[in-house]
Amino acid sequence: MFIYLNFFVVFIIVILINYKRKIKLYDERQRIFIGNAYRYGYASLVLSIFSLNFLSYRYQIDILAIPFYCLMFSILVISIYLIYHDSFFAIGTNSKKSIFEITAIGIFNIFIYLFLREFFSLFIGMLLIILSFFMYIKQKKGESKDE
Amino acid sequence: MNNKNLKLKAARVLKGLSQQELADKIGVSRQTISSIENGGYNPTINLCINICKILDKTLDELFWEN
Repeated sequence: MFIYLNFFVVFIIVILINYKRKIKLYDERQRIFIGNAYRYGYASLVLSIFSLNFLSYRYQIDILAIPFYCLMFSILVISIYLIYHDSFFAIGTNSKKSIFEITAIGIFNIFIYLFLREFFSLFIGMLLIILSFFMYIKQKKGESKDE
Repeated sequence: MNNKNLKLKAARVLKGLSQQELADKIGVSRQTISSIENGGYNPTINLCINICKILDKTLDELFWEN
């Protein structure tokens, strides 16, 4: 029950934050890479479900956690592919602000882990910090290329 | 288009625009302009026309191989 309430609160907060923001668009090159990224994401999702189910027979893995890990792995693949091809942020997005937000949410999740000892929070926190690190490096490379 | 598009880069520089400024005028990301100039992306005809309009060039002048 508490989890559903949590989802609902987060859903409302996201809607309120994005209510006044303009819809941001991607250009044609970015859309091509987004399509490819979803394809890779789907493939990695299927492969990770298969491999984790296979491993769960041999090693002790929480069955309920398998979909979570598979989804996170798929999201990681999509995000890294898009970041690598400069297609993660829409046109006109303030990437510095977005990187700061993602890092802050990652650090917040790690704090939650420190207090509640919830492994999922640590996992998500690490994932977000890794992603923001990649974004930061890519942004710095892009700035130096601008001629 | 695997070769670098030097004609596009030259036209942009001649017009006094940075990649970001040209991208803002066309409505694409800076990385897309960079990819076109470096030959990493083959743009659609619509994007080519938009670039030509901004840089006051024809399609032949910017995108036709010599």
